Amino acid sequence: MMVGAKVADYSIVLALTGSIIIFMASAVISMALPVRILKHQTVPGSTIIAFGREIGAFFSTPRSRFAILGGSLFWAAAAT
Amino acid sequence: MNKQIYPLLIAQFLSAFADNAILFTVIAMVMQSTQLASWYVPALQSSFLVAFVVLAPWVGGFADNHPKSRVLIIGNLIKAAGAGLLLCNVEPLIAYCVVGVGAAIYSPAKYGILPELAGHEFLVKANSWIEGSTILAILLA
Repeated sequence: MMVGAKVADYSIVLALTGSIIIFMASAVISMALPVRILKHQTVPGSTIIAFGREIGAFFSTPRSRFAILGGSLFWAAAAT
Repeated sequence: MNKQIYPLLIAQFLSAFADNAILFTVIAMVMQSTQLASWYVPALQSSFLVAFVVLAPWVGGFADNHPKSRVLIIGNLIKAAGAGLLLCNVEPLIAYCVVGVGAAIYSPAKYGILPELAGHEFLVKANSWIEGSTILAILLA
């Protein structure tokens, strides 16, 4: 659909103003989320090894492998 | 699934939509300008991404140590400020870098808040909804 691109082609000022309004709307909606700080678990030992172990878990089942590879391809396509 | 996740889905959709609308707007600004060189568009994208790389060691801790809903608000306000700078004709490389700073602050909080809202039982489902809303926003914008 490229709504943003079409609006930008029509008027840059309108596109920027619209973007600011949308960001503000997102901020206002975020106010409906609960305000709390949860204590996060500390990782024993090396955090890099723990990170590698958790990344490895993503490749443990065919569905998670498919999800990781599909997601990576999408973002790689978006970046190029 | 916890109904508190729906505001997050809407907020994330809107924020991702505006992120991509701004990218296209900045590119349109560059295309309409005769003074800017061909390297400018890649430089713009880099100015956005450099904020992620530079701030990566701190933004996760920032999201952990503050209420994530407030971090989401701060991220959106910084992005809006970046868009405002573009509107005020500030150098696009600087203004778009400010949008990148907002996005870098926003990102860990949007994922970090998921276990708080959905719990571990529905974490995968909640994550898929967030990713789905993001991709839909990107495709629409």
